[in-house]
Amino acid sequence: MENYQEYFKQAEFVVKYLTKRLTKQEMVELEVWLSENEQNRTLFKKLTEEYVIGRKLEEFRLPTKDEDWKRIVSETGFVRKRKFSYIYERWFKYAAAVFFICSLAAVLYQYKQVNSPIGKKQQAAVIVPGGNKAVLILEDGKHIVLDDASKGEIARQSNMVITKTGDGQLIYDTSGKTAHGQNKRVQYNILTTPRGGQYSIVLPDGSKVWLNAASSLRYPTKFDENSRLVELNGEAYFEIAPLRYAKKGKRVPFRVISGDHIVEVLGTHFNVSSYSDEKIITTTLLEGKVKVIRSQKVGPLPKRMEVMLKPGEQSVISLREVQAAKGISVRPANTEETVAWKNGQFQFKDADLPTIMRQIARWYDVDVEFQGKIPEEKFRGKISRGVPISQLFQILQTSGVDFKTEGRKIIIKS
Amino acid sequence: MGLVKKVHDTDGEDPIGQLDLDHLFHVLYDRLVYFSMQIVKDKDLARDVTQDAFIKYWQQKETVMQNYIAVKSFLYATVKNASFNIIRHNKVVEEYAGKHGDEEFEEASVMESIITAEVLAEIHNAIESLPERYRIISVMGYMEGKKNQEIADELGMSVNTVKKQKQRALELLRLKLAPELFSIMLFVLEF
Repeated sequence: MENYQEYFKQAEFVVKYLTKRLTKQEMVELEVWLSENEQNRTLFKKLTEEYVIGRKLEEFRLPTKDEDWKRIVSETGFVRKRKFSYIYERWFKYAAAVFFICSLAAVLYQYKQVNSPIGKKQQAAVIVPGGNKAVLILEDGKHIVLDDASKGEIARQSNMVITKTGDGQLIYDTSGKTAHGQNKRVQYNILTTPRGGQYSIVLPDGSKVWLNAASSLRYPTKFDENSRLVELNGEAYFEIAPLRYAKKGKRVPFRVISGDHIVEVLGTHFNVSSYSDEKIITTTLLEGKVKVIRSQKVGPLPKRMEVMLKPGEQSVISLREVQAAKGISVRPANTEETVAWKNGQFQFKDADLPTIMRQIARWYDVDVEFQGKIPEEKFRGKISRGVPISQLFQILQTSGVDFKTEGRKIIIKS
Repeated sequence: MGLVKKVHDTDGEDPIGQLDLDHLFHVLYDRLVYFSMQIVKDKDLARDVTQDAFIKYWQQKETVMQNYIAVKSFLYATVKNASFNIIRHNKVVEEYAGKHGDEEFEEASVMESIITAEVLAEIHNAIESLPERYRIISVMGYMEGKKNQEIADELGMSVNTVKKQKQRALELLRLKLAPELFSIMLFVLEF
């Protein structure tokens, strides 16, 4: 009697491939199977074509299932033993991973809450701290969801291979050969994080970028020879690799644009914070040298202001000012506090409550509302970004902040 | 052969009932019918063949190793043999001889058919279990091949909303297409 276990396994790989849950080991096994013969490859191609699957799914439907079951019951005299609904086959493998279950339960609880039919008893919202989550949007509009689950190669574009490493980093590798007649037009990708997400990426030139929650970075898949340009919304920490233009020997600058705020560097470590719900855009320099440029339209003429920052300094551009006169100001900064997020911490020194709550809102994906007068106290402290929100609530309580929660909303009373 | 083994179907060895006939039917029936259909090309015949296979399994289960893979293989093998018997005795075999060599068709296409049936079953289950609005959009988009604009017009929403809901449906499908995880959630949240 045949054992079709091998076929079941390959089918499982295909499904995991479609849902990007393939582990590196499994991908290797899948590739071995594909390399065995042409038939395997053709089958794989068919099964991974959306339209083909769609057509076949039509044929899959079986409206007569219930009556067919009745026939089997009558011929076998089968009597149902068990009361509760059935659980799928591979249950046992995961029964031991309690920690795993708990964290996933929280995630799925959220989905269940969103998808419950109206009228069902309202379930308590489970608020969890953020993690490595992002969506990569390719030039052709394709969305690739990035999280801790899938690893390995995730996309191929022109001569570029995008891989995801075990510790959640995206790496662009342009070392592959360029195809013939490759078009010269530059392609852009966008890496975007949701609230409660963060991600890091290694750009084609080797520069590293850490993206904070609710942010997005737009960058070319291949940098221009004369300048490296990216666009940022939200907050990111950059470690820019110095790059020399081979032919002329000149160094190629790297520029980060956020609205009319431009940061220009040659090779350095700095943090840019440019959230639309904050009143200011700041750039904080840790190492190296940075030029911060503000390019505005004042009347009919563009006005350009620039400052050079030294390590430990921070440039501030106000988004709310009426007059353009203020331009850019420079002040000393606590660099540790500024990049605490990238090191998995919240750190505050004389921060007001609204600022703190905005950061909490982005990382825990909650809404914050102030009722009445906003407390004027300033806060200081350092706390890990991985703590459950209940611990933060305790801190708020002991600090004398009066608040209550409604689902995913935190209401702070004066 | 070492398959003749009496195993008592006690709770201790199959605590979640995955070898119970109704569970096997619930999970495997559709894909086995689909598998048979690829050979016999007739849905009603495929249903008969598959039902017979389940009945045969239940009557002979003492001779089948009581683990899920073995039972599943038994069912596929039974359906396969019965399906091929049918086409050998029908005129249908002439059509096949024209397209594939007899022997060739057997093993090569069996692999294709089984893998296809398995993949479709997982995707089908996942889509069926999606919440209503995502399921409708998935069905229209993936099964009926409708373009985003068509779906938007039909459902009276913007193309952007359709795209977002499609993406969201895919994310949900991702979660759902890992049944071992989904089942743990059911266990944790509802029991």
